Amino acid sequence: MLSYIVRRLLLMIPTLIGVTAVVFFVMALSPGGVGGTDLNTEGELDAQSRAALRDYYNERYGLDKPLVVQYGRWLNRVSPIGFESGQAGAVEWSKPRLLKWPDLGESTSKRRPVIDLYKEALPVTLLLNVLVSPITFLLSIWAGIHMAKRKGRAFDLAAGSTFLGLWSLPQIWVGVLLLGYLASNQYLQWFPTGGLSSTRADEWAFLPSWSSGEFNRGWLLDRAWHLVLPVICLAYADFAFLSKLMRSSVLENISADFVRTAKAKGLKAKVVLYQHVFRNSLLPLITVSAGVIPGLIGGAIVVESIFSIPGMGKLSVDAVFARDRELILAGALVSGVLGLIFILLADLAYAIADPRVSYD
Amino acid sequence: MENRFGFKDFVLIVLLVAILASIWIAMKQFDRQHSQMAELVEQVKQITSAQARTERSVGQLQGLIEQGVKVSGTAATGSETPETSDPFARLKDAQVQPDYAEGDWVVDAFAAQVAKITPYISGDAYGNAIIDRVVETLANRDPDTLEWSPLLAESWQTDANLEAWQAYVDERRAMPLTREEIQQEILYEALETETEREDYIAKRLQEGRLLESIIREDDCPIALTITFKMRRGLTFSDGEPLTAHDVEFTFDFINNPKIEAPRARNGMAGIVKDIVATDDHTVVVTFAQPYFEAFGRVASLAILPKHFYSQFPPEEINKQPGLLLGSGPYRMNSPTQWVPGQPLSLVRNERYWGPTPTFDRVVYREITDDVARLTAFRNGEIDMFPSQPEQYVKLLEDEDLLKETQRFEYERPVGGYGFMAWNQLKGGTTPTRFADRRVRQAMTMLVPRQEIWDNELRGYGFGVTGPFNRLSPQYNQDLEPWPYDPERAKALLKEAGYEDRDGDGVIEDANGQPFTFKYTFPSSQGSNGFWNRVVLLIRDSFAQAGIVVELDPLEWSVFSEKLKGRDFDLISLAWSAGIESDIHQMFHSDNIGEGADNFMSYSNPELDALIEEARMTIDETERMRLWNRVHAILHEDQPYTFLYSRMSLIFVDDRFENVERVKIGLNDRTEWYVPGAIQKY
Repeated sequence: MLSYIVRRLLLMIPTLIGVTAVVFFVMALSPGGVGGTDLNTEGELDAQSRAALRDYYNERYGLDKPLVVQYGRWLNRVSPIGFESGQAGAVEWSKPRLLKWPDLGESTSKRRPVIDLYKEALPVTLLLNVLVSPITFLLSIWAGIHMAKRKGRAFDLAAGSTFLGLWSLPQIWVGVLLLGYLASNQYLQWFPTGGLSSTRADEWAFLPSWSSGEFNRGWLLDRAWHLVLPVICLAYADFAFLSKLMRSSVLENISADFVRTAKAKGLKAKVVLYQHVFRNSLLPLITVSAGVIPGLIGGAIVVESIFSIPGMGKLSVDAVFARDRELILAGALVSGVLGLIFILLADLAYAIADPRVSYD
Repeated sequence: MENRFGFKDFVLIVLLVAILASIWIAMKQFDRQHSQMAELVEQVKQITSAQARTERSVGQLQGLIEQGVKVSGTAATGSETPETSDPFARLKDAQVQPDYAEGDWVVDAFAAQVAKITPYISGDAYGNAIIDRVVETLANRDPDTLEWSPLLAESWQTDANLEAWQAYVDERRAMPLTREEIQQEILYEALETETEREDYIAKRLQEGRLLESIIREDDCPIALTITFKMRRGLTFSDGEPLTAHDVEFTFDFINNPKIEAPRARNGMAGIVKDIVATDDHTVVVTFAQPYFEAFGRVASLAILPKHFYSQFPPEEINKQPGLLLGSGPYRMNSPTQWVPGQPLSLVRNERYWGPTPTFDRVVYREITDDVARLTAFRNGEIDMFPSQPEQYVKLLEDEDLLKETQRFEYERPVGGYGFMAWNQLKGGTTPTRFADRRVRQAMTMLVPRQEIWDNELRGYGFGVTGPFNRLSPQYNQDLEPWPYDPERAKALLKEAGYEDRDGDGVIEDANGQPFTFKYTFPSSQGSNGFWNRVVLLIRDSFAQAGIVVELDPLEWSVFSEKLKGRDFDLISLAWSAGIESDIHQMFHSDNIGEGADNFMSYSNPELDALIEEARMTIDETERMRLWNRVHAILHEDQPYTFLYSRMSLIFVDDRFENVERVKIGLNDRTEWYVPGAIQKY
């Protein structure tokens, strides 16, 4: 088992180099220059500051060097084993380092270290996912089992078509509708329009409180209140896929021989379903979640934009529009590493869920 | 398998309950501390404000005493001391209104996330909007007269030394350049092959001495000196006094090459030679050359506190997202702690040296989605909503919204203009048909501009005849705008050699080449695809004259790449303008080279000379006369077709009083107030 894990980890290195090389060269060869746009709030350009920024970028980020050199410098910076980096990321061959922290560089459009930007955006995205994933997974599993149990009956058809209907609604449209009907004073103003906290939440207490007859919802409840619409918007579409998957998997197992044996032994239907069928039916879900979770960390672009949530998705989209090379490469690296790790974890989870699977 | 509730489970549940209970108690405790803290903060605030009041009156007393001494001791300086106007006159007028009250918040919304709010380091427009509330300048533009009026400075005096300077420059220019001198130039050293070096020397020998290197010589006399007298009793928001040394520090800060402030540094380079504090209240600024904006460049420097910024190494200043401390009416709650994503909320500077600021807080929310921003405004979550013409017209029919808001339509003297630029040298090498002035004039007469102002800008657009703002004295009001006149345009094109020779409806030149070109424009440039609609209108109009236009919408970063390589026939874009703008960057032939902003390779020696002269003229009336002539030449030459300028359209929540139109646009929100009875926060 251990040797298998080590082998898989080592194999990740060439994969990652491949992924980042593709991203780097596609970016470098596509038209458009590095650097943020220099427009003012009215969408007009300021001639004076344009001139000042132009040469600065080349000098600061070494953009005048050949592409291979630029990519090599970047690899050296992010690799834990390598050489010290000098001016504009130049490799200092005389100073080898065995173990160093990967340096993800500095965003060209925001002019701040990429790692700092990630430290700010990642917790926000994780918070959303910690709320959304259990909701989607639990509800889908529950619905999947019951749909399989009542196959072809009213619940199966109703839940199936409802989920399919939800799945086919575009997120961007639902988001705007939720905002327009549930957050506007023209209709029902139940929820706030965006952001993660009210403007004055920072001066409130943490917990809800009643003081002199007036209710103050407190920081915690305020945050939860702000998260309702984004969480709905993120969760609704995933039910269809996961519940259908669970349903077919349960159906397959229910007609298997070991289930018949278990029933013949006289076990209660509940025990058969939840202890024998359920466990076996989880396997396809594990495969799928290995692909879903790194995607979740990548952020939800549409929802984050509509509800003004400063998460990973917005960061990445801004980076692409601004041709922010460092930020995009760091994104490719991080999601590459996460993707590979989760695939590995899924493979290991098979072994736990199914004793027949073994890697030795 | 039987699940019975055993002792083990009991212990487990008890443990779990205990943990939850202790977390609950910890939170309770935390909340109790929080309320105590809030009370403490409130008390400190009151003490600070009381102390600031005392300091202010002591400062005024000191000023009075020293003025008294001055009157009896020294004679008046005589030359150019500006009339001292009160920068807070308008605010003071508001404060005596019967319903005036301190308190409440102003909440504004940004359409993008702000990345940095450190002065000079921040690049984005939104970051600067925040910085402007927190730091102050030596002088600012009076909102009614647009003249410079004192703020941190109390007065200033200009001493010109132009004759001596000019004499030196002329003398050095007359002196031929030697090979040895050229070989020491940085550009020479960067060249690698021998032939390149020889070419460079030949080129430089012909050019002779350049002004920018002459003014860097040690012997070059100072062209201009401005002496600023600082106001007494100024303090930063942390209570430290603001003196002339902070002004000197700000200049050194910008010029520190380790600090990432290329914009500000370039703005000073070659113009301001040095800024020196001769005592606590006097700043002497020396200029390396006479430049029309010389005063403005220095007067609009945001003064940074030396004691605060000098405690950080340059790397730290570049890296930190928000190091913001100044002397302005509002301050960051904590000048070092802000990180992007946290609420941007400025609180009243209780120690402010001027009249007590009205609002408790000035808050900026980041709302990226357009629909969400409008909904937030309807809900009263934000107090201001600037809108695009199309949306504005729609909102005017919305009774519910109009009931709760006041709205303003105004022209700003800093409003820019949209244009079409005709490339005269494609790729920087091949002359195009737009190199002919008659063709450019004809093209302008083919553009249905009135239709753009009336339909696309819903009547909130208007025409301009040149690159200056209509409200600026730079603008030449005598020029007759080019009419929309397809017949005259066709005649002009025929004169230039373009007519329909084979009867297919498309005009051709003498060689039978049809008149076709590509129209490049930014595809999603803010304002909901404004250009996408305008170009269709223009294409139709050109087609009627027998000109075939191929549309080429490009995403922004690709667009700017094309601009850089001069790889286009016609592009559209918008420039920002100023109360007095410098157009050297866009129209002087020095800026034809790759990367600079004369991307249409337009060159007119007469115009070049006029721009250079205007930039060096200190006398305002004379300079405006020159700018007017510049404007007339550009109007005749039509290197751009000047398309439109637009009005600002803004909705403001109804609870604000004293929101007024002034010459500069809308009055500053520091002058607004909310009557006590209807305060919201």
